[in-house]
Amino acid sequence: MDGLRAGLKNELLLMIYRKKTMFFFLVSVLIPVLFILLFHALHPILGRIAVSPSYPVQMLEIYTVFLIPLFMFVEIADLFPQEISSRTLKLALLRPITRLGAYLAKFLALGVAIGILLLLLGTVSTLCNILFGIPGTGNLDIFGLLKAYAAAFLSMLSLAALFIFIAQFFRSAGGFLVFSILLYTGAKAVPYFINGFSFFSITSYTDWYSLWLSHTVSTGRLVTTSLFLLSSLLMFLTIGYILFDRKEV
Amino acid sequence: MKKKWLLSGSAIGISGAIMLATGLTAFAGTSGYEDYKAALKNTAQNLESVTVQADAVLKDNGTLLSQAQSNLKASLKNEAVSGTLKINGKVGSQNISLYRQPEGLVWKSDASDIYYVKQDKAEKNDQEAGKVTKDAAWLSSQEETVIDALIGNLKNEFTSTSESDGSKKISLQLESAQIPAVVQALAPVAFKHLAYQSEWNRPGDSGTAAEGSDPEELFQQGLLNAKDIALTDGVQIQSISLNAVVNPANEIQSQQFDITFTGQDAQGVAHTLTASLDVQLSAFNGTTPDSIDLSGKQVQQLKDDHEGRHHE
Repeated sequence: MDGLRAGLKNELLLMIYRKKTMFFFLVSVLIPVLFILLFHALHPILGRIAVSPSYPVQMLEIYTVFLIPLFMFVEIADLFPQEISSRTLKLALLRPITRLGAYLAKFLALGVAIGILLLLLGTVSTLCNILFGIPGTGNLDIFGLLKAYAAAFLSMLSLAALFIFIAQFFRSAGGFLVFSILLYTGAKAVPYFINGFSFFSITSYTDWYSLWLSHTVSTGRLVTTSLFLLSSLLMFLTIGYILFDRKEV
Repeated sequence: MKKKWLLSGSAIGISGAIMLATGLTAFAGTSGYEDYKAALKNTAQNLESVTVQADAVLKDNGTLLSQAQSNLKASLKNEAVSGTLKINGKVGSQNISLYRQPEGLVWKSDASDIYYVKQDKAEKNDQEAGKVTKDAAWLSSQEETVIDALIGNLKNEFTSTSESDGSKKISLQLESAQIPAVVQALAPVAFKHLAYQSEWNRPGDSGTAAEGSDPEELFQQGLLNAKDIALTDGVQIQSISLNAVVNPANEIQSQQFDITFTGQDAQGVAHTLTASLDVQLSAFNGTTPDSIDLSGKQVQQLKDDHEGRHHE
């Protein structure tokens, strides 16, 4: 357990030292503010666009579809293929830590980073709403907001597990990055051609959190979709571990 | 070593099985969305003639802005429509009778004896004819897949309850946070467009035929006085609700649609605009539209030049 904690700390520190991580954090703070500025710039053309209590949820849509997956691919590329190609993975494995510990530490570090990203987005967009919002519009309680963010976090973790599994097949960061972006956009496009694909694809669960805001969706539906995401998280994490375990470094 | 394989193997097995099972449940589960789609298809495919009672209401902060009630008989086979249209607006109320027959679209206001005839072009003219044909058009399976994909997870928001007599009630309730950001962003654009439209229309209108007794114009003025709904700031969709009743023969019997906008006008006054549409369909394939004999009546031909504007 100590090994895992030390490993996690190690991975998080590494992540912070990478410039791109900080860049992504900065961008995710700036985007809600930039949108407010854009709305102000559009004022003469379109009138004032509503910034309402649902602003944090509307921002979430952009994040879960574009920004967080991109962040994920960049970080996973650094966590796995990059460490193999630059032969630094053995440094982590030389420590008193099991392979499972090293693997989990990487996954958890990514999870923490995604969590921080969501937290930053939630805080900044809520602040934007308090500062620039039009009072008395919309109705979204803070509890509903937290539920939506937690649901978004779960779907992002499942997506991360899937792409960590895919990353095990790659030995270069660039190759993985290109392939995963293509795969992701491809998987997003397939439901437009094949009926029923979206029920089995994790990528179509990126806007899944909106179900948690509804009053009409049945509990059964919420349970089955949550189970789907949890089980796919577990499955891809395990297969990814088996591949990672057999890897020569 | 063996224990490790057993552990990871069973983890994969169990989670894979759950994943497949839940995916299949979602895939096979009949949702309200599927019911609704099936009913729409069935209604559109088997429809030859129908009686439509439609009631559209526009309210601002609870006070009535305008209301249109119509009672139409339509037959798809010979493309004939007849019916009456009653419009209550701020400018007063209007009763219009309309017929669509081989010589074109015939309008008559109760206030005058003149019949206005508009030659039919190949394109479909108005709501009452357009609605039915549009439904029939979106049936190709490729388009259906695209629509399914666009609707995405909103599919799960449709609920369907079966009544004891075999009919089904389907409803969809969305609040502002659940409405996709793209749709939400279109709301201010739409209002801007409406305001622009009204400015553009005003000067032209007074000059055209017969001092405002042209029923088409009255129709427009009465129903859509865009100045009344000129929201400029903070426009957004607050809620969308859709209710439909499907009869045991899987035909759509009634269809309600409500949409609520909130926003402020140029003076900074908050408005809540509610638009609702209530359509009742009856006498499926048992309706014969009336026709009118124009001989010996006062007839005025209308040109098609403001066709495009009317369509907006």
